[in-house]
Amino acid sequence: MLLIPCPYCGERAELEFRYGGEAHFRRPDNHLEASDESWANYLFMRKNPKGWHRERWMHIAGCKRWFYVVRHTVTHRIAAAYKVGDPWPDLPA
Amino acid sequence: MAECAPLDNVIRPGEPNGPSGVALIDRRFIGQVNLRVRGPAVAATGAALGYALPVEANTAVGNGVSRSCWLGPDEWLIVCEDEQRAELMQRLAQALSSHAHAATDVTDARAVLRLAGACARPVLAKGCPLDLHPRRLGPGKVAQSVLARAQIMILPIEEGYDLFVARSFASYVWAWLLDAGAEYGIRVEP
Repeated sequence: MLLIPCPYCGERAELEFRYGGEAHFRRPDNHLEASDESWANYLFMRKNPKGWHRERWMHIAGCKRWFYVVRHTVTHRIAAAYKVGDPWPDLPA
Repeated sequence: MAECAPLDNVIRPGEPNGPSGVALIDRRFIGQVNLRVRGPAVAATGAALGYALPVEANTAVGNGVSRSCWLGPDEWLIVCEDEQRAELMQRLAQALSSHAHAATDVTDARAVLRLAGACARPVLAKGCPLDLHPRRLGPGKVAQSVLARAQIMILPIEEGYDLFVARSFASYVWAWLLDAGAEYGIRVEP
């Protein structure tokens, strides 16, 4: 089980959280004129990296806040957790 | 080898199996107000309550009338006796009239189960992933977590915990605690 450092509550067990998928992708700005390709990209395409991944988590059984986690998808190591609006921490080497 | 009959470990209402180290109490009708404020409204709330709202995560502060539990960076649960609830709501509305705020009476949303006694901690630990040691979760602290997959808010008392559970989960958590406490001779108290 992962020990996830909620930026508000501190370290908590994974089963208190919900996973929210890849973080920091952006809805097409002008949605009426956005191309099918940019919509498809927004709706369906994800990086799915083997390595460091910025992702969204929600502390559903705690403070109920969304935040971001930098997690390694192979080792499950968590390098950072940060609040919405905070500067992005660098990915580890 | 000690003899063990098939039904030795089942719960027998009113008859603790061995010395009882833990009690389960239904704390009926505890007043609960959910408060969402930020900025200067936090201090205004403090003035109305008679103590500053706790802004440190996972802490609870109170006086003889009410106790405010940190739920999130802009959210608190204020707990009081049921008779104090109307006055508390009125007081908050008055103090916060010029601030953006939401004070919601959620008294009926949750049941409050008190788990008290020397063995309250090991019983709770059977279904909760938190570090329950008093240095992490003792009086003055509060935590939201899960107990046997049900969401709960845990408010430690002198020896034991008040567990705030959504009312639809209350009977489930009650039954789970009776089962988990059987080995400690759990007893139900009024």
